Amino acid sequence: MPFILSANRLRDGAVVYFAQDNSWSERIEDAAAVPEDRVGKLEEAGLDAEARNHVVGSYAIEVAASCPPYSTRLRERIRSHGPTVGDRQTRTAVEDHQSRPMGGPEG
Amino acid sequence: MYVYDSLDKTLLNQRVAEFRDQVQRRLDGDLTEDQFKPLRLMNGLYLQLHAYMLRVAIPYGTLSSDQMRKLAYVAKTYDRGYGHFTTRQNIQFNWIELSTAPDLLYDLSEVDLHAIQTSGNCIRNVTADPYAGAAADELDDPRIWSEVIRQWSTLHPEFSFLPRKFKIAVTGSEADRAAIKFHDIGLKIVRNNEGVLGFAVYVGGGQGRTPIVAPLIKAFLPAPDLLRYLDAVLRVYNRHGRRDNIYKARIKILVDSMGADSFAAEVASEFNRLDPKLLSVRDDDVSRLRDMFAQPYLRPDPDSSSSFEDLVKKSPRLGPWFKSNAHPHKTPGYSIVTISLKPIGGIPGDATAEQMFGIADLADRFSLGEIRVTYTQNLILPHVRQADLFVLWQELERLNLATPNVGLASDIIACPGLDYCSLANARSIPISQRISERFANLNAQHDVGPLDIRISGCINACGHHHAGHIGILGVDKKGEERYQLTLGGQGNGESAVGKIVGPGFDEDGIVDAVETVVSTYLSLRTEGEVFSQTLARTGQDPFKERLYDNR
Ligand code: HEM
Ligand code: SF4
Repeated sequence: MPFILSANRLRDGAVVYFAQDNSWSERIEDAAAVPEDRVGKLEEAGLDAEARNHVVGSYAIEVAASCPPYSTRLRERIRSHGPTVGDRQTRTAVEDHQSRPMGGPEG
Repeated sequence: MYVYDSLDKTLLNQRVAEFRDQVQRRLDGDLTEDQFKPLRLMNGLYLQLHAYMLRVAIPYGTLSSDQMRKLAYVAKTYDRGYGHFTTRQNIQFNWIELSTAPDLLYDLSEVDLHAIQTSGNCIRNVTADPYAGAAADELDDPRIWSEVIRQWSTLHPEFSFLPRKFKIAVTGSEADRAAIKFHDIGLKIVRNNEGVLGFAVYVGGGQGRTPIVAPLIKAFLPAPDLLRYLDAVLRVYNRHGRRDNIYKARIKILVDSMGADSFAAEVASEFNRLDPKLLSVRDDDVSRLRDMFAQPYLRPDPDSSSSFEDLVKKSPRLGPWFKSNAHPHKTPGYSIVTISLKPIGGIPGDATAEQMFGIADLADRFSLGEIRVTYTQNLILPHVRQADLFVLWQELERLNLATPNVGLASDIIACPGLDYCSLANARSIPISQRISERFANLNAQHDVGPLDIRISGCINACGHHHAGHIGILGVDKKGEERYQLTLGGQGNGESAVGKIVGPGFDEDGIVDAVETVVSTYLSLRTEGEVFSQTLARTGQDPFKERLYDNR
């Protein structure tokens, strides 16, 4: 299974993914997926971005080769799609979530 | 309420300026993440799953209406319009940016709020009985003594790098509404036979991986000796606490391994070595604080209760709310009102900015501008005239804050869990939402009676699951969320650690399991028996049978 690289952006803590064009994107759809034998290179790119103070805590995630990339870990799906409970304290947020599990924009 | 003096204010301003400089140096690349992380944690700023999270201290759970307004403003300006009240009488903001955090802290400092010592291996925010100053059964106001502790522990150089975090809770009543025996130090205000004011001192309680109910270390400590004794406890801990193993670093492990008696003996000899002149709490300091916390005179208004009771009879919806959310005040004709932050299907402890602004206004109108935060993640208006209760209730309904469920099945404690927390194994909030929806019928909840359901997303136990009548612990089993069920914990008044009933459940299964436990109780209970009494009488077996037999 391929790998993608994720981190939190230093300035605001947002979840970001390392993209094809060497930028960091908030959308998991933009993540560059590489085969297992190139994970080392990917991780190097992460350490480089950390050294340049763009991101913190970069790490590679194993994903299914789907679009968007799909992690089998719930933690990663929550990072990419936001809290499963919406981000407000209303019944609607819960109902929203039930009608589109794990997807859609937050809030 | 305590009002910051120029010393407090200077300290706060200096701290904000210092942090602003540290953040700038980090953003400019002059500090590495390894250098910066401890500095941001000292200012309550964590990095969680989706963003930075800021934990703001609410010392001993007391807020003024202006402070609440500022929290609402922060929620609106720096976050996504809401905040999360926690079991430690703190508030957490989940969507904070590093670059604007110094501005946020500056705004908070204008109303004497801060995030100092809300993280790290230091003495954390002191918690207290949320009924402080209003409860009829109170011997003395625990906030006075909590403030003494706050002043002593703030930036205390000797106790800033303890083996692990350190939490102190104070109650002034026999009824423990602050879960003091689940703290590193729990203080209960008592009087000895001569009527002298002092403390019963419990040391070495805690939750987490190793839940322990704190043993009594000293039955009577005269009040002026408070700081000298706390100093001695902290010194013994600092000297012998395990720094080699984070899982064994809390004081509870030390007290447990030494034995309460020898721990107490070592504290006593340290106490004797310490200079009483330096550490005695001075009478004039205490009376100054006592004046600050003294509430304005409330005119007893006994007639108001009887007319209110007529209203309760007339309005079928007001009755249940009054029954579960109002508590007698020490002044006749007044109530201590709990604002439930547990709407059916909502997120326990969350409040929107609009709700916070609304609560601040209601506190000004009806409760001398005072608000309290409870460790059960609710809010309190401590001094409400019963003649005002009907209007207050209507206003709370308008804000979606009048759920009549305090102490009942849907008044669930839940930690942020995997939806927000980077340490989590499983989600907590959705489980609490589904359970509260399962028990949405309020008549049924009132029929079930007092029931504490508590959920943590990992063994750190921030959701107090060990102390719930029904406790739920999220675990990770080969990448799947699983939930362990414990029964028999007590955190409200009594203290006890629950026991695991058997194999865990999946997300659907745990919601059904809670319902099975409750229906088993209903079938077993005798007249007038509450859940914890039935469980104590029958033991877990009948519950286990119903939970696991037909699987
Ligand atoms: C989301 C960020 C949080 C992190 C990283 C965090 C971390 C931890 C850790 C590591 C422990 C175990 C400490 C030990 O046993 O030595 C703990 C305990 C605890 N936390 Fe949290 N927690 C978080 C949020 C919360 C929240 C939201 C609450 C309140 C709802 C809370 C209240 C507590 C309590 C009451 C305990 C157990 C008491 C104790 O033994 O100290 N924490 N937390
Ligand atoms: S109990 Fe675990 S999951 Fe819940 S807030 Fe604490 S550390 Fe996070």
